Amino acid sequence: MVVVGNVQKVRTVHILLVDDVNLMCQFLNETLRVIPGVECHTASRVSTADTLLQRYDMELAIIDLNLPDGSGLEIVKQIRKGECKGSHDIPVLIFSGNTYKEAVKECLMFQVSDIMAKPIVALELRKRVQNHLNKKANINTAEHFQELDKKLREANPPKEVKVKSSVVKNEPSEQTKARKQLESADSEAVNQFIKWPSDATTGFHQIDRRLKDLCFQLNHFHFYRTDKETYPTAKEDIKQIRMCLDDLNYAIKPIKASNPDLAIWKPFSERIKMISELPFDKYSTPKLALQGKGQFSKSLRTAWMGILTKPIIQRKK
Amino acid sequence: MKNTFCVDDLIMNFEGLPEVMLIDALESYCSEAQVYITELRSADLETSVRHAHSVKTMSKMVGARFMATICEEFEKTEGSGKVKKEHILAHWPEVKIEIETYVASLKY
Repeated sequence: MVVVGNVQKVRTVHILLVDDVNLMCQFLNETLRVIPGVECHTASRVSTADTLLQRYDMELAIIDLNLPDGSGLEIVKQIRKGECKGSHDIPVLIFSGNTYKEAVKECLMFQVSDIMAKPIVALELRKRVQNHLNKKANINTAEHFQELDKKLREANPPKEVKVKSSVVKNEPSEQTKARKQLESADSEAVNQFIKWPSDATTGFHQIDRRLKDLCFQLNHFHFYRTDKETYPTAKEDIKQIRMCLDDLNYAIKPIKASNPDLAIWKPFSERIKMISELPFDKYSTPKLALQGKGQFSKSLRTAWMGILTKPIIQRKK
Repeated sequence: MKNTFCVDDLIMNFEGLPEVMLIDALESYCSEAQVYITELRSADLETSVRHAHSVKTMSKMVGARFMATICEEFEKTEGSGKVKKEHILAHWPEVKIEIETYVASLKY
């Protein structure tokens, strides 16, 4: 708790922010970090949130229900059951773009402190968070929630956890399910070639965000170029990659102007140039022979790994 | 009449944050939404609905009202209503240009 009195004692208050939309994480982070002592930790997936919950003694969590690898409700349950480093009775705020009736009902059973609809005004959000940090809620014990979760699982046997849309869906046919499994395997495979480590940072979130976008674009291009027989949108996707690189170079300028002495600029500029100079145009036709794909993969990986080195990248504390 | 970009929504949501955040947020929106829009082209229905949800959320935050509306409609009807993926893809360049123009006016 941040003590405000005659003697203002400010200690670090760790807050977990979980949303798969970078813009939302940025908004939440900028809104809350001005609260004295607050240090925000962002996650875009259930798995990353779990890692952060084990690492830090969180004192408040703001969670989106709709996440790519599961429901935000899993994180709520994890906190309330005491399966994290911090206390189980911290304020948990749900922040969602949809009101999923079933999910909200279950959130209330796990005594979430607040449910906020998107979008929200920054001042309103800050006020709510400060109120929750400054009051002690009466939350049941962790054992109570462990028991509750057990009963709910017995009553509703586990199936694939997905946040359903607010419209009832017809059950897909077996053929559609098989097709979706193949496509889902595809979409997982797209992001496997190069990665952005979840604990990496350049120290500037504006650059981190753009590097993550670039990683996504390069993975996408590499996957479709090397794994598919034809790639009709190759030219458009190359254009996207070049725009991504231009945007990155443009975004760096004011940051570099404010921090001219940092050691990262020279190597960073060299590594980005290495990626810019990859022979994308050679691989822009819809159909491509196998020959040369291996060399392209190797060059792309080398160029990307060059970015993931010191002094460009540090590990997040 | 469609309301592509409403600055008042943006200013209201970001009230209390430094002005530079407005520029940063709009630039983030353009680059992040672009990724989803690119993916939308070749995505299956389930992924498309998910992406539409994300673009809807971002669009509401920055005041891209019409984009938020059509993404919401697509999400609600899961692509089987009046709004199709193509409508979202067709509208995106208009939103992007309007926002980029506004950002340029803030910077210069």
